Amino acid sequence: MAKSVFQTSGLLKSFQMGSLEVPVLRGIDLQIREGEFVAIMGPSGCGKSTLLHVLGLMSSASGGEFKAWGEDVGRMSQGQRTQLRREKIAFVFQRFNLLGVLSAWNNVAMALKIRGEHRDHQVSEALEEVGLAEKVRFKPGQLSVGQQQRVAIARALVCKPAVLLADEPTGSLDSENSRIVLRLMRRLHDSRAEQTTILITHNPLIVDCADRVLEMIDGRIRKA
Amino acid sequence: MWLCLANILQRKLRAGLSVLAVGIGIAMLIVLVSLSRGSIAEVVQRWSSIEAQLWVFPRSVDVITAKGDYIDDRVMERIQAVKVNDEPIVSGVFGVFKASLQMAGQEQSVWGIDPDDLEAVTGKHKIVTGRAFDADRYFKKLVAEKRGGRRDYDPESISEGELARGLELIIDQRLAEAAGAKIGDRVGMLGKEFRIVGIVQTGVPARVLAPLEVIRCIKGVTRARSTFYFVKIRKGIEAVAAQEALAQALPSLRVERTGAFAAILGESVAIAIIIPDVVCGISVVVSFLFILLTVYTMVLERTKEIAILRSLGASSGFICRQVVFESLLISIGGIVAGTGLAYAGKAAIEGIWPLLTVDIRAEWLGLAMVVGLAGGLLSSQIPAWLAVRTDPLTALNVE
Repeated sequence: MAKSVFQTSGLLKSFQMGSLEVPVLRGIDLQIREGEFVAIMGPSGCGKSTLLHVLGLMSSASGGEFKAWGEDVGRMSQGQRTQLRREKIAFVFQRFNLLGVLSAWNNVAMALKIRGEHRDHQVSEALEEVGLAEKVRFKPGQLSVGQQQRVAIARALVCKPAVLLADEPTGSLDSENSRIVLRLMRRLHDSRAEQTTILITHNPLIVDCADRVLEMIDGRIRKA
Repeated sequence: MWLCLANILQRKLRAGLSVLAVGIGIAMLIVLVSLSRGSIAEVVQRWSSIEAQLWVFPRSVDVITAKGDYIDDRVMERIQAVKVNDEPIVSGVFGVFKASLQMAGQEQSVWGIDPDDLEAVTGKHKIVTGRAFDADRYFKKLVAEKRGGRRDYDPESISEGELARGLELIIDQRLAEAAGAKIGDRVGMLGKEFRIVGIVQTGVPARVLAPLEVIRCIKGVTRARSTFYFVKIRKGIEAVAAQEALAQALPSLRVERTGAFAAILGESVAIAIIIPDVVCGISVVVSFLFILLTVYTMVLERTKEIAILRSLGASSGFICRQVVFESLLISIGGIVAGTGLAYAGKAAIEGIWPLLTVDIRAEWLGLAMVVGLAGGLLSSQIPAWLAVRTDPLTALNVE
């Protein structure tokens, strides 16, 4: 049986808004195993992105249990969480979040640079894999939205992360580009045997791509 | 490194203005320090050519302006008579009567000296054009004749024609070049027209030398009096021991070693050094506040970029280094621009005021570099702290 990557039990997350505490995650029980391609769907405001940020160690849970690769995340320091994120997790965002001042090549290279393992051939391979070998010198503003998202995918995958977290990766794309991006993500997932992909989306096309679709509503997972 | 460079190039005008602001601060630092220290060093260097070890002057005399009481030349006999262990220590004494004139756009110090003491004052510096003043000792002999062994004489007894023969000057080469003066030119001083009769190599203690008795006569000082004296001590006598002996013998006068002139001058012009130093300090601080503001604004503008780096796993140290690098890049640009501006400033100052010395030394450039880098480093601390505290999720959600 594949190893557990993330395991949560009664996971809570709330935000303080003035004197008011707003609960967003209301007890998430979840297990994600190595190599899975999991989609999380649900209406806006149900807590999908918050869950993704907690899983991606960008945000801390307010309560409950959360284990990543068997380690209790609640006991980790900020530095340990940053290190774990750097070594094992990559993000793809709805708005791409590329560095506008850098070329496509340098955007991808930056992810390696942060890990201290910059190798030119890895950058070239990653951009080739997403079909942008010809656009390496282009800055994000010179690329179409579909191409920008492909650069963001190349940046996420160049470090060969254990987990890829994608937050509405097709949210800013038209249907044609959405189809291209989802197929690309599935293909890249399949080509990396141990990679786990967790994707948040409203896009019904994902049903054909994902191994498992989870539905979230009001801060809870409704069905698996 | 490319991210820092790309970010700076993204806002070329703002980065350029920051570099210029730092450059101006650095240039002011280099030029003002080089000007104040350079001018003092140049005067001290000129004083080193005097062939005398001690310097005697009234306590009331201001070293820079030479304003104060004159000393009666009879003190020269007392100086000559000073002994240590019953051995005479003085081999020669000569007096200087100070005056001033306007030349090359600024006030020049004029040393009235006895024609026979010219070599002791000019040292190894030779007259390159013309001749020494009062070469045939005409005026010196004339005054001696008028005194007739008395201490005083009637200045009215010297006719305009007799005085005119003594109205001669020697100037140094740098002043001659600055004023475009040549042999035979006439220069006004103390209401009289002096002729330039000689030009001496640059490096003599006073840029203008004139016959002692002529200056005294025009100023109506008919008794033999001087502003200060230089004392040559005998070989084998320690200057410090001779200084102590003279100071004991002449308690109303101040006795200093000529080698200590730099320190005495430093004391006298301390305020003239402190003011440029304070101006430098303020300009450098303002320049670096400009960097702080620039980098601070850059960080505020780029919270999203910092959040992206965070999402890629960038540590606090990595984020901090980006901010510090940017600040240092601006500082390095400022140091390079400031050094260029400093040399341009030196050329401009020395072009407009040719007698000012802007002596840009490696040590001042080194100081500017250290100040520039330290300032850049310090200026980046608040923005770096702010960058590290950026909440990545809030920043990523702001569109």
